[in-house]
Amino acid sequence: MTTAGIARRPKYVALFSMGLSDALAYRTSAAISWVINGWSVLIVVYVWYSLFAQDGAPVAQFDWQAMKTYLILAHAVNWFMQSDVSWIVADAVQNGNIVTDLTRPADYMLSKFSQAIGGSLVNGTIGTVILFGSSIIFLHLQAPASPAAAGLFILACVLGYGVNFLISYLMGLSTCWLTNNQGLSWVLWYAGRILAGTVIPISLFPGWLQTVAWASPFQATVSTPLLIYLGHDQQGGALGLIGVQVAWIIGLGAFSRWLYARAMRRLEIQGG
Amino acid sequence: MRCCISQAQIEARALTKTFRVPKRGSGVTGAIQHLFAPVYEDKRALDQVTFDIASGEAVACVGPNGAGKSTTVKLMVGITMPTSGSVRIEGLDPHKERITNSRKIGVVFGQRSQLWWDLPVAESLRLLGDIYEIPPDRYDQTLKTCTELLELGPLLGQASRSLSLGQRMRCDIAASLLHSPRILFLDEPTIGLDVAVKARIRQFISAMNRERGVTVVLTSHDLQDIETICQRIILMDKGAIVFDGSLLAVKRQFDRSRVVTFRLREMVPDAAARVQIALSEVAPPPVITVTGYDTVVTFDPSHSSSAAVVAKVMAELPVEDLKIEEPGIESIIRQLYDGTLKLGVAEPVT
Repeated sequence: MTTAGIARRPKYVALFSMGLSDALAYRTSAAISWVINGWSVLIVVYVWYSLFAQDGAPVAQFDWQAMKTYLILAHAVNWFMQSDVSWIVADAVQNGNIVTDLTRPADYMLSKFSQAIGGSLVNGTIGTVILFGSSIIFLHLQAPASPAAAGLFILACVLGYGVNFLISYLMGLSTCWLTNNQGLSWVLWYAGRILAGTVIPISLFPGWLQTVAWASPFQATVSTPLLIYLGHDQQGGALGLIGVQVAWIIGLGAFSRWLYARAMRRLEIQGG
Repeated sequence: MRCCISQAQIEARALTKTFRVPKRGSGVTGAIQHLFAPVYEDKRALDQVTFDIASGEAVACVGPNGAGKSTTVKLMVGITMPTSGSVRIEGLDPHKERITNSRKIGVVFGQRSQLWWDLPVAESLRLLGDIYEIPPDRYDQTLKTCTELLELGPLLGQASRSLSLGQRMRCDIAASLLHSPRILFLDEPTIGLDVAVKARIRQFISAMNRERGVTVVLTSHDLQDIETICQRIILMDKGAIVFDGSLLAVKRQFDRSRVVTFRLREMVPDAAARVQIALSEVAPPPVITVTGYDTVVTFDPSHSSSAAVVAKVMAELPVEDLKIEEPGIESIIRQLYDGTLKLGVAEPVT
C-alpha cells in the first residue's frame, strides 16, 4: 500500500484530519452524547419556562423569549467548545505516552489544537448544529440582533473556542506539577461553566460574582458570543468584547508557551 | 573504556540526571503526614555519564532495571533534560532543538506505540509521512522496503488496537524509519515478542545498520538482540557506566572463569589429585571435577592462559580430546544484574 497519487498534507491539517477520524471511530458514543446533551437542554429550558410562567416579568434584560434563546444557545455554544485536551494531555503525562508526541517534528500545542478541532467537529459541532437548527424550527429562537451581530457571533464562537482550548491545555499541563490533575479539572470545569455564563447569564449573578466572572477568561468562551447574538453588548460594544477575547488568547497563549517550557523541564517519565 | 571519538555523532559529557521523589511513610498515617509535611529526596538516575557514538555504530546499553539506560535514551532523544552535563546529537542540543533533532532520529519504545490506536496502520503511517514532511516518492520507497522486510502487507489495513504485540512492534519499527533517520533509538524493542518475530526484527535492524549506515542505540535485556545487532556494549549499573567497549573486550575484561573439559583415553582413578598437583602454581586455585572419562578444570583466565593450563594437564593425563568453553557474555551480564560482577580493570594474563 503506497500513497501514490496522494498529495502530502500540511502536518497540522493532517493532525486535524486524524482528530476527525479518531472521533468518528466512536460515532456511537458521539451520537449518545448528542441525545443526552439535547435532553439536558430541554430540562433546563423547561425549568426556566416554569419560573417565567409564575411571573412573566423580565429578569434583568431577559424576557422569556430572550432567556430561552440564551439558554439553548449557551448549551449549544458550550457543546461546540467542549474539548478533552485537558484529559488527553494529563493522561499522556501520567502514563508517559507524551514521549511519542515529543519525538515528532511538530509543535506540541499546535498538534493538540489541530487534533482537538478535528474531534470537536464530530463531538461538538454536529451536535451543536442539530440542537441549534432544531431549536430555531421548533422552539422559535430569537433571531440575532442584526446581520452584523450574526457574523460577529460566529467570530466570537471561534475565538471562544480558542480561549477554552487554552484553558483546557493549561489544565492538562498542570499534571507535570500535580501528578494527578483530576481534582483541579473538576473544580475548574464546574466553576468554568458557571463563570462562562452557561448555566445562567452573568448579569443575573450577585455583584461580587459578576466581578469575578468578568475578570475570568471563562466569560470569553460562552457569554461573549451570546451577548453579541442577543445585542446585550452595550458595555464596550461587540468589537470591544471580541477585543477582550483576542487579549485572552494572546495572554493565555503566551502563558501556555511559558508553562510548557517549564513543564518539559520537570517532565519525569518513569520506566521504558 | 572508550570515550571521546573525534567526529562523534552523539556526544554525552558528564551527563547527570537527578529526580526528586516523594519520601512517604506507609499506610494512612504516612499519607496524611506527607499531605501536610511532604518530604522529598533526590534520586540520582545518571551520574557523570560520558561517551561518544560514531555514525554507523550499533551500540547496546545494558544493565539491570534502574541502571539508567532508558533515562540515557530519553536524554538523547530530547524528551527530558539533564540536571547537569550535556548531550549533543550531530552538534544539536536535543532538548532545546527538539523539532530539528526529531527529524534526525527514529525512536521505538517497546512498551509504547506511536501508532494511533483507532486508525488503520496505513493511515497512521501516512500521517507520520505528513508530520515529517517526507516527499511522497521517498515515502513510498521506504514503506515498500519496510513492508517487504517486515511483512507488513496484511497489517496495513488493520486498526492498531487489533494487532498482536509482535505485529504492532513491526509496524512501530516501520513508523520510526519512514523519515529515513540517521540514528535509531530502540528501547527494549523485542520485549514480550515470540522467538520468530524477535529474529525477524533483529535481522531487519541489523540490515538497516550494516547496509544503510543507520546508527543504532539499543537497550535490551535480551542477549540475542545485543549479540546480533551490536558491535559495542555500554554496561551500566546504578546510573554509571561500568564498561564501554566491544563485545569481545567485555568478554576479555569480565570473564573470570574459563572451563576446559578433557576427555581421557582411559579411566584414571586419581585424575583430580594429579591435575591439582600439575596446576599447583595456578592462582587462584582452579576447580577440578571428574565425571567418568571427563576431567573439567575451571580457572581464572585473567591470571593463567588456556594454553598453559592445557599443556600442564596434557603432560599429566592421557588426553584424547578437549573442549574449551568460550567466555559467555550471558554469564557476565547475569553477574552484573545480580550484583556479583567484579568491576575494575583485570590484570594482564600471564
